[in-house]
Amino acid sequence: MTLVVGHAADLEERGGAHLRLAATLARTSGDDVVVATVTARGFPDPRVDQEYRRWVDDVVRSRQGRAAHDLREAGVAEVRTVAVEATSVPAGLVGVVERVGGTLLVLGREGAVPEHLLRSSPVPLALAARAGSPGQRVTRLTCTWAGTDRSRAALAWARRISAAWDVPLRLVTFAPERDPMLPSETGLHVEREVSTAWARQAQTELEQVAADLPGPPDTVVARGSGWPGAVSAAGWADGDLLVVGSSRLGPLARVFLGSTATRIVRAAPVPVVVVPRGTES
Amino acid sequence: MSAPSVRSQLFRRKPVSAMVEETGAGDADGGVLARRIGVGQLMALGIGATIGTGIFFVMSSAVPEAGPAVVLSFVLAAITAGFTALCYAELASTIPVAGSSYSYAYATLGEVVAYVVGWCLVLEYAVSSAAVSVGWSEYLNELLDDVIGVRIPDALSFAPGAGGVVNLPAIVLVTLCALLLVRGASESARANAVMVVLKVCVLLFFVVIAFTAFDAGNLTPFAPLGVAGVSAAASSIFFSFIGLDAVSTAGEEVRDPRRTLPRAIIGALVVVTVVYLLVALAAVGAQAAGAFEGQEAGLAVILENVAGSRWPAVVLAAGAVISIFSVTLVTMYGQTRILFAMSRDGMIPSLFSRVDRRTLTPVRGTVAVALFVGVLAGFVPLDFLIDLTSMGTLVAFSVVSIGVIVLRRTQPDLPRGFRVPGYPVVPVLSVAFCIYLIYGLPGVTWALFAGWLAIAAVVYVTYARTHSALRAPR
Repeated sequence: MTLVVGHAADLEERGGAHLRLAATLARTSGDDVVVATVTARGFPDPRVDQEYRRWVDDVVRSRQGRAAHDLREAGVAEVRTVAVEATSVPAGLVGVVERVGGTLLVLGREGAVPEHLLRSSPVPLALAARAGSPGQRVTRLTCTWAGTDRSRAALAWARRISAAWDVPLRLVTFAPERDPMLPSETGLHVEREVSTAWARQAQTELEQVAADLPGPPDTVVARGSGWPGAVSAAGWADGDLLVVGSSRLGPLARVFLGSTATRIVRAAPVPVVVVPRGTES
Repeated sequence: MSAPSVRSQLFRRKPVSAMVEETGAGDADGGVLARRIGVGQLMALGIGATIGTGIFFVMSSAVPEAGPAVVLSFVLAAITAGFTALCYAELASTIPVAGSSYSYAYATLGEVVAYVVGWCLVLEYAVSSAAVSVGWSEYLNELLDDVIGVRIPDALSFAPGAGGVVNLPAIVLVTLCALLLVRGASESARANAVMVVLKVCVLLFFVVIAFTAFDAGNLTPFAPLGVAGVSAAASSIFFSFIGLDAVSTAGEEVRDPRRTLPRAIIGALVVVTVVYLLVALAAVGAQAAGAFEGQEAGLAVILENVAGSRWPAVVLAAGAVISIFSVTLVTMYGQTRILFAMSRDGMIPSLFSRVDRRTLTPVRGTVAVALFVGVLAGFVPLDFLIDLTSMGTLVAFSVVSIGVIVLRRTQPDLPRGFRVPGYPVVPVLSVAFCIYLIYGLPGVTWALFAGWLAIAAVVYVTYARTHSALRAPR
């Protein structure tokens, strides 16, 4: 199994959260790590921007070298580096994943690249937390469950990985309370009834799902105001990894339904693995 | 089943503690908006919920009944709205849970009363959603006509009883609102404030321009049909005051309800009434009373006639299209949530309280509401809808006012965040005014309402009686 960690070519340091997460995952799983950097595709005739390209290559090489060094220092046994040119960063990363047979793509959470890959990545996506340490090893997987197809994808992946890594699994359903539509003639807390009803529906289902799993895993229905409140109500610790499914929505559906995965990723205080439908196995 | 048990069943009450548990009102985190509401914001809630429901199109059915004396009808409707809102506020502050008059009635007056109130609220919300979307379609047509010179053909923009086949724009509006609700849209306090400013500005814009054409001659004869005409018009006009209860239901959020609530209610009522009176006066001064009959998108047409150019009508029609849209959205939302509460209590089938796992909104209930509203909006003329809404709301408000009196007698020691001033005069007057306005509604509305209650009774006997969440465990 191979983890591909996307390492930006930018001169400005973006922090090393993605490298720390890759190290934690590799220590837990014993996988090897490929540090991938994507640079812009130059002119077809190399003479036009030869010097610039040479400079970019130098920058990339030194950055990748430092990253590989950091990863080895952090206890990762096998580290390789790959640099590719592509028309876009997501396309380049997908190319690397396919070339090296990657099983998980590790990224930082900032910027547009993770958002873009959330639905188009051919393998699950591990996104580092904004702050805090991912821990020495992954000590618990928390899989979101809402009974949808994307939940099934997430659960399939989480079950497999929890067995492979020998870490406990827990199931969580989020029940966020929305803001009411103002001016509400039914009081300002009317949405609480909706989230309560959802929590009740979810609780029953969650217990049924858990009962069929080996373990059986812990379950929690996390309620709070809005997605941030609900996600933080689940209770988190170092070494936690959250698993979320995402569906391949068309552009229209994305506008009308929005993306639950995006909201959860935004609110999560721990690293998140997003499992796009169809990539779970 | 013996008589006493039927009686206890009909009047079983839902314990307040159960309601608190359901809505988590006792939670420490206190929710998103907890105790952040002041008089100004409360007033904005009331004004935002009220203006836009009726004023843009109620004149065409009210003026033919009352003549220029429609101004008095507005005063009469405003007084009624004020009394009922005060009573509503006492009940809302006594029962510390989110909800509507349905929940309050269930906690205080018993199941069968709550059930009837719930069905009346369907008239207040679903039927009024249909009514405002019909009004929206009038203004949309006016706007299209003024801007690009195209009208949607009559066959596709009027209900069968009003000279068309189907009111397509109204159905489109209802569908759009349903989509937004399924998606889980919420409108923030800030958005509401923007809408309030927009609505008030558009109406004042109308007043200023229409007053330039004021002709005292249009005011005579002042009340061609006398008192009967004035009160009949007030019954329809009451429709345009619906929404003031948004202030009352927010009562649980207010830091010092005893002071804040009455100020906010009266404040919102005064603002709304002054704006309405100005609009009414400007309108009846600008054209002869006879010209109102059957006038579509009335305010815009008046502006066009007065100004002799199109742009003022365009501004008004655009403002109306935007504000009526937001009102439809909010009213349909209210309907889905009231049905949600009724369904959770087992009063209506559980489809209305089933939360969709993808959107986390009651999708099926929203679709059902949209179908109901869409059919009404597409196929029933505006006048029927307005009167039926007034009927439902007035009955619900009478029950609320009676509830205040009943609760003061049966549970005098219950803590009340807000007490109606001038008890028992105010609740009694509130009931009296409601009954007076109900009396002024046309016979056909009475008949429809009776039919509606008959359906409700059948559903109660065949479904709710045995499915109620409060039934004794067997």
